[in-house]
Amino acid sequence: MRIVMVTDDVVIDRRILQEAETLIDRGNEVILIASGEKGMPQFEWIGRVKVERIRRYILPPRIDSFCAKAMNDVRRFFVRVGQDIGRVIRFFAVRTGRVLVKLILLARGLAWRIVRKNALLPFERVILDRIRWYNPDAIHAHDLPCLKVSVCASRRLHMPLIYDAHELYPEIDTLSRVQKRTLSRMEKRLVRHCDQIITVNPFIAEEMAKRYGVVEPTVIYNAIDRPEGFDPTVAPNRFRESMSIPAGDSILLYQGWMSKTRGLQDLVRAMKMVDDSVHLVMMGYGEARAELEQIVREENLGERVHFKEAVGQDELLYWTASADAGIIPYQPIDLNNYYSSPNKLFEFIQAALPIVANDLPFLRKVVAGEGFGVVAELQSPDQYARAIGEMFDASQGGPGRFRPRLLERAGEYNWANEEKKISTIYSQIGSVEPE
Amino acid sequence: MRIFHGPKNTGGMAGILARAQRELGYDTWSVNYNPGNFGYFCDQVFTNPSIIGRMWEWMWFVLAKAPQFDVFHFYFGESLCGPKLLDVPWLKRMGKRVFFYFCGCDIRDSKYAVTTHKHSACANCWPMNCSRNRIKARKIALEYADGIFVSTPDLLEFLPGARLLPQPIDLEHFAALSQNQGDSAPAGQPGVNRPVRVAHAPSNRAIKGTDMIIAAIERLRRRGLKVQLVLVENQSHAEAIAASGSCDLAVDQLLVGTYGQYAVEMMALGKPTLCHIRQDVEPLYPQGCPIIRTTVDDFENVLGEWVTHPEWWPAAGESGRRYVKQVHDMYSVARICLKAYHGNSQ
Repeated sequence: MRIVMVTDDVVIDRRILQEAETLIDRGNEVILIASGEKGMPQFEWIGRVKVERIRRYILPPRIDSFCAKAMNDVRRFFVRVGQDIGRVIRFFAVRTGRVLVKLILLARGLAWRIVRKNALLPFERVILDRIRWYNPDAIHAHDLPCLKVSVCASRRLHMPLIYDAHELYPEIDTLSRVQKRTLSRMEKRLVRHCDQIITVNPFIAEEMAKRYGVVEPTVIYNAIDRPEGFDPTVAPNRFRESMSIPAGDSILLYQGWMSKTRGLQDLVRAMKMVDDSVHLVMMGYGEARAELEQIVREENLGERVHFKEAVGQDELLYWTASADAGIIPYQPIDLNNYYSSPNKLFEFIQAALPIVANDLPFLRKVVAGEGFGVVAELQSPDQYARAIGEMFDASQGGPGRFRPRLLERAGEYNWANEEKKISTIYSQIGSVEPE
Repeated sequence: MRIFHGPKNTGGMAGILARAQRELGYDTWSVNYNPGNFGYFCDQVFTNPSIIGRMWEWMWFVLAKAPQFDVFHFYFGESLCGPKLLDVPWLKRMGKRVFFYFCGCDIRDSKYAVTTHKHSACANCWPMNCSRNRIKARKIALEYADGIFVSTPDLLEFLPGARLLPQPIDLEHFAALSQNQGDSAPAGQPGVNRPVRVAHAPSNRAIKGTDMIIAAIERLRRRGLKVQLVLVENQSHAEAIAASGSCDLAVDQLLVGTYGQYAVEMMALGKPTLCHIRQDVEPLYPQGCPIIRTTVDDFENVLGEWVTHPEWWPAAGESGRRYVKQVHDMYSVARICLKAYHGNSQ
């Protein structure tokens, strides 16, 4: 069968590619419609997945690019006028330019509000046209932003729709109250048209069932498989070798996006209160990196807090396993984060890396419930320091005390387990032979 | 009977068939709206560089010249109005006879091909090369056409009632082209000390399986065989034939499951030609088809065998020439069309 997946990701989430490859393994063809940015190819292969990228427009593409060009021209003109004519004039010229830009933005916003709320936006119409052209046997929508066009396509073309909710989208912290209410209503209205709903953990599944009055969605974790040849009982030494960390010292690893809202600032500060033999490695990239480096300088932690660029998925676990423990400091800034089940949890499990986790429901269920590590409130540097101290407490056996349990139970949290659920989902809509 | 061939000249077929039918005594004319890069012969090509000039050329042709034809033989899913096919019902109302000739991506259902066959060109084809008007062309052809032809038997499953019309080749013109073959003394002969040259001319690498061919030949070379791939791309038709003619063997494609125009031309040159032929379409080909069967899985071994047995080449080459003369000669193919135009499909 031909399956079209729709996502608004520019950097394609690992979950999407894993699901696609699983479906391809079972003899299906998968086409992924994703978002694109200037400079990106419109068509590409990612693994065996055919990817088409569509740039997002609020208005029809020509009008949208005209508005963007107009804004740039207006800004440049008034800045030039200001530069030429003098400080006083510049003061007014620049502000006039800003006002005009805001007026253009307002006009653009009003222009699309005139269109009925349920109508598809121009880029959604492009997506619908592409879905129609591909003539799939099923549509798989990833996350709420893609759900409206996917429901529309599913109804017009009479094909089954699977909705894969990676997040509790209406609860994302960056949304305003009005946006949250609107999106919640939209999701409630649209999920009723889905043939199958999937989400990432049982807490979000339960929340969605309660909010929308639907059958509890199927849970498919963001798990991964170990790469071929990877042995979790043999710990590589990549961090020690590349960062000259003494052999007798311990390494605590944070890996992933360095967000300003993940409590990373307190984590770094906490290292001042943690035993000198414990090093912190921050592997990844993100908006908070510069701030974290500043904190390291201010607190004189340069010898014990190290930064490493993100690595490719094919070598990730080798680096992960090079640490002695991992930390997941996600903060409950919104309900979506409160219920989160981050990718790094599954990466740590497959690398048999003991875990320090913030006390959030899913993390407690897995980390504490399975005996994979330490779960504690991580809201201040003191609390971080205590939790880290507990992890590396030699009198209790250090991180090593959690490894047998991780090695024993890793099989319950790998992708091989989850891909059976994908097959079952698709066999229920008649697209795949059941396993 | 006045016969129109066009407005696309895929593989030069419109021009060849029009000329063949003319030499058989019929009043024919071939037209190509977009000349493309290969320089295939056509009686009339719209080459006006300006849009308005091209529009004028088109309007003049459609309004003044087209009504004079009795039979319209359309290619690659387009008609006088292009892909929209709006003129076809009107031609039928005017009592004209309409025929369609489909060649591949203009009619093949890629979804069906990918999910039905273990290996298919469509699985590798991205972005999808299918004609945008594929479904409409099929609908119009089935509803209005007096006859439907397909160039390869794998397309028959998409068009009930269609007939296989082998790709036509002008053997005389080909004989003239093949004079410019350059160093054509086969490898393996006494006094000829060069690697075995294998020609491959992909119009689209993904569809033809070119990467697999390149990889297999590289593995053969690492095994110690003296073999060289001659990749013929982005050249005019005459240049491509000259380059391929200097080779010893030819590979057409590994994924589609039927042989294409390039295989016909290589057989006409007397080159043993390898190609993947799907098992289910084998019975649909004329008996004695001398294509050397191969698949993605055994291509390296099959090619290796032919590279190391130059004594097989002359007989295979001669079989190819005989087969092409019997099945693909443009006059034979033209006669099949003429019978259909007259209402005799057999």
